[in-house]
Amino acid sequence: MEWQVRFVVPCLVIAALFQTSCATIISGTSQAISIDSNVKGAEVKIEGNLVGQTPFHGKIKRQKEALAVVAADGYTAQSITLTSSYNPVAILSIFWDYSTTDCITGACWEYAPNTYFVNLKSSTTSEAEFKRQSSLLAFCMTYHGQLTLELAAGDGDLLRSLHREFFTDQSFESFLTCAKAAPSNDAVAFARAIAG
Amino acid sequence: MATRYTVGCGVALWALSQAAAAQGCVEVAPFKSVFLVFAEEQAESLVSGFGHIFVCLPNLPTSSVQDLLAAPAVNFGADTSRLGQGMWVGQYKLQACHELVRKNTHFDQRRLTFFELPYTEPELKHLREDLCSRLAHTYSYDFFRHNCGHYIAEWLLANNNASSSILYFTPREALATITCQRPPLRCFTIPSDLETLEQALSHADERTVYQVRRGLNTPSVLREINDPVLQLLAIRVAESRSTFAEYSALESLQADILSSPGGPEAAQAIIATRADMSAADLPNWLQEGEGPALGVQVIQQADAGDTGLRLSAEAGLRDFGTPPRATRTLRDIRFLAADVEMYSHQVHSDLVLASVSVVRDLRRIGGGLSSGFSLGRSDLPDPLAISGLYASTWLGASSRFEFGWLGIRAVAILDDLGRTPDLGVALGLTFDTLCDTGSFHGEVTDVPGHGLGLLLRQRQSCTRTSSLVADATCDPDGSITLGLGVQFRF
Repeated sequence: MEWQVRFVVPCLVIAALFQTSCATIISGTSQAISIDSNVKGAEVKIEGNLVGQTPFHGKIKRQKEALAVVAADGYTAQSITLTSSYNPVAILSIFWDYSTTDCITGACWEYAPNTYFVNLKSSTTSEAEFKRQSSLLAFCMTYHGQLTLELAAGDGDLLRSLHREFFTDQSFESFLTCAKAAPSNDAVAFARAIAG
Repeated sequence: MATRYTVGCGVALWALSQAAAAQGCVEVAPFKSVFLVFAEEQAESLVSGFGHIFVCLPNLPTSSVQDLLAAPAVNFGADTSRLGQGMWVGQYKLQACHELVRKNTHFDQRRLTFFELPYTEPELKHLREDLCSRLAHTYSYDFFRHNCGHYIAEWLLANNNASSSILYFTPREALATITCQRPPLRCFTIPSDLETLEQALSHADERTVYQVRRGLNTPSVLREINDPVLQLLAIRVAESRSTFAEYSALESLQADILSSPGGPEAAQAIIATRADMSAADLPNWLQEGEGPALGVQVIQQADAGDTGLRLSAEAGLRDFGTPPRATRTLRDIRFLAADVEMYSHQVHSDLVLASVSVVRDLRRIGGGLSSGFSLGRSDLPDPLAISGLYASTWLGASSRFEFGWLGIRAVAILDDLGRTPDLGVALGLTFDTLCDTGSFHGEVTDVPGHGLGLLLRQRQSCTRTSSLVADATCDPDGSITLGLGVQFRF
């Protein structure tokens, strides 16, 4: 029995460490992240320390979670809780459902690995318009790869969904023509062009 | 990586707040239909090993996947940072359906199946009001029982207590419970990127398959592949596993391929493949899935005063991970159960090897065929001093009704113990109920010249894994045997 414990437990721990969901963040003591926002040059603070401006590319020390705040004059500051999915609790508890506690306002999202976009709200923008704009940008950025694929094919579920939800004032064909003109190799530029 | 799964809060929240204010329930907009979504188990990931369910709530008449993506969704998730009375705190959360779809099909590489559930207008109204009150509370969360499956079932089945007394309750079991009480109107699927790639690779040569597999780990290799369809599909899969630097490179590679001469045709082929794969019939695994079981019974032969033990092992049906197919073929014939039973009486002993192979159409309404055989040996001590073999085989047909299965079977019997003809033919009627909390099996067999044989077997589920089993058997010779025991199902 003892040899089984000696053998099985380390194997389980190693297997847990190499779960696909954790593989990209468990090596090293720091982690590269990128933060961009709709306002260029917005201040980026991590754990209260000013670390740069958007678009920000840098490394942060690995820890259970870190609070990033993005702020610019004339805009409401936005905070992101950067949470690490790897922690002993998560391995022991074997979660079915991931915790999604950050970005609950819908104004920031991770559209690529460790890459965040923050949509800052200006004082002149209405709440409804801001939410609509955030939803549209989030949709376009997170589905950028699939949307460009569908644009090349000329049709697809996501394109139809995008059109139905946000561009009902124009025909699908004219929406398609505009969307095809958007730059396709950069998710942020693509989303901004679509949101237009 | 949890943050990876936290893509922007989507269309749902905006749509919800727009339409809900006037209805008294400010969080949730009125919805027209309910789509239960099941994300299949994914063996590679521990956290995905038991499936996941959530609900999409479109506010427009919905006809396809594309209509659902922008709809609001209800997800039950755990907050790992907070402790409650159980292990952790869980909450119903409103998210965009596309957010959950992307997380499951792209990041987790899991197939999604959407089931439209039938609800009337008043029921939809009640569901919405109920959801509003649930959104305001937190709930005790534990992995084995009070999980997404439990809470989504509780909400959709109007506070039913289907899972209150069980030891564990997986999302797949929650799905089975819900769809049993609310038979789906239709269903369709969204294949994972990996599944779509595997589909395309099934026609590729060995070298290409090797290149693709290598490219999934080393994205730069993907440039060397000659087939743009495979390149694009591999990019979709590789993206979900990449670092940011790799991600950017993959996006550029995709843009290059799409702008090349064969790019648009390749994109069209992929969209068409995914559309073909999304057509689905109701999955077979929704119905009657059962795991293997072990049982032990105390038996009493009433007329002879003989008591004994019966041990049984049963291999049941469990279609974990079997993808549903749009068209049914001979491969869909299921091996439902195999029994091995051993009787050990005080007076005599029997060994019965009963392999029961049942072919059933697992659709909700339908019919099926059954066949099987049993083989046993009995040794009776002095003064009878008889020992011999007995065997039977049968072929039957059964039909499924709302209340259960009704079947007829022809039985050929071989028995050299003198209890029945040495070789005879009998006719049997069978009846099986369908019930979540237990099952009942009844069987009447007419053995010409010897009278009627009767078997009644009742299983009552105590927990999801254990059942009480009570048997009553009356042989054609009038001997009655009663049995009582437990069965553990895995």
